[in-house]
Amino acid sequence: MSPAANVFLSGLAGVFAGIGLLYLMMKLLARLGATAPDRSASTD
Amino acid sequence: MAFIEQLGVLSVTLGMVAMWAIALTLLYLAIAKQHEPLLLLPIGFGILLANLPLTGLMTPEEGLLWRFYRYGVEWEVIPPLVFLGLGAHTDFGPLLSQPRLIFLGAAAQGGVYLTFFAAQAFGFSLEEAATIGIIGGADGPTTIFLAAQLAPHLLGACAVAAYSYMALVPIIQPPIMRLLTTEQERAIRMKKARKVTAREKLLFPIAATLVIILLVPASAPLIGMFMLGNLFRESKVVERLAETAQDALMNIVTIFLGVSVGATMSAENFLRTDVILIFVLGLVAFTVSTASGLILAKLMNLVSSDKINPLVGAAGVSAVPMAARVVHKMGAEADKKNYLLMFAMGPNLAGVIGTVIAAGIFLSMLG
Amino acid sequence: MAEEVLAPLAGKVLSIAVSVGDTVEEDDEVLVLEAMKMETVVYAPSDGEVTAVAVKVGDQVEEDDALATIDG
Repeated sequence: MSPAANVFLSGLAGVFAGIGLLYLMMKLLARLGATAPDRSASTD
Repeated sequence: MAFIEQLGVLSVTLGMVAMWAIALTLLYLAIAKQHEPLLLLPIGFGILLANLPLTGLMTPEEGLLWRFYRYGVEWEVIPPLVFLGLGAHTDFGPLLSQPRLIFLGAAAQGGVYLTFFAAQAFGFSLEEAATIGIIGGADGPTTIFLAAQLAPHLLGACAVAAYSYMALVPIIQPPIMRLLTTEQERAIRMKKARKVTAREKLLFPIAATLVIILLVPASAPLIGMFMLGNLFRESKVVERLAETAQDALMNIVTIFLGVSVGATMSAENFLRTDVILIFVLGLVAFTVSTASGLILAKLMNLVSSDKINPLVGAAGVSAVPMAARVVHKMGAEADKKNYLLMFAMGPNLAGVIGTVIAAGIFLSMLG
Repeated sequence: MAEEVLAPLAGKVLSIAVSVGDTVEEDDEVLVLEAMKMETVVYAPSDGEVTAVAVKVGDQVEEDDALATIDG
């Protein structure tokens, strides 16, 4: 495989792996966090 | 007559004059059109200063602008500090309430990689190609961060391309969005997002730091500062720090960042045919990123009963929050009671994270 | 029956197009919110008479806050 193809494929795979892990982490957080309601008033 | 030789006016070159024109164009866009004025104004003026003769401003070890660039940008100080401010400013609630939309932010990196591939096919080195590709992430500080490491001679061109196209998002994206979606798809109203708890928002920056940096250590300067800033915000115990990071400090580093970026754009660095190609490729990157976000959203709809309005995929092109605003407006055009803004903010923030991960991977493979 | 006009997103009330006693039709403009430097129009969910306006110009509202009541 050419170096460019290597970077291309590893890069795309890496981005999806990273985002996929974040997804799982957020799912976990949703369970952990579900007990404390948000009392803060968000801005913007 | 030594004094005559010191007259700047005799040392002006044609290249310099051309750069003045570019500087004045950016100043015009910033001041009269208010396109990204916070950046284009200092960049434009930096270009002007850097292209005046005999100033020594960019003389290594001596010049004022050289020092700004060297210690601020080349030493990787300023882009992470910008991320600190962005983190303190960012509410990850829209992302946390719709975790699956994070994948749209990953899809939008498709433009980064496709453009990387195209750029190296056009004869750019891998390092240069990576820097050009990252323009498609639509994230200024990340582009500058990566360019300073991999291809400093392209930094000015890539940064200006990124910031210009970000300002042009409302013009670049809608035609692609119309082309790839039907009226009915654009009118899809998304199911109300659940409420996110304060605890989730508090835990997110800590957990995200662990996950991302353990996977891509080279992304640590940007992600680390981004999440620290966010923890300032969500912890609610250091409001002074959160406020300083997103206002005062952000303003300070923006000044140095803009001037430094402008200062790198000397005539010999910028007036090359390469630069035209960089702008073309940058536009391709934006277009492909927009399209790949849209397409993944449509693919997700094939397997999910809970429909996503494909427009929000276009917000995976980070350009926070311009891309999300564009999505919101187009959704409302199709159905005036369709309020997509908060749904679009999720992929928008995911796009920032995705671009930083992509930059980290480029760095670890090519740096 | 009375129906509440809910804020579709968090934002600041920029202008209010109706007042108590007005008759509105579905999809008439009720008020304009500003969120992230962008104006978002909130429309009436149904026909009826405005019996209450719960906010005033400049108020910061959260998503799902009641903005007005329409009795139809």
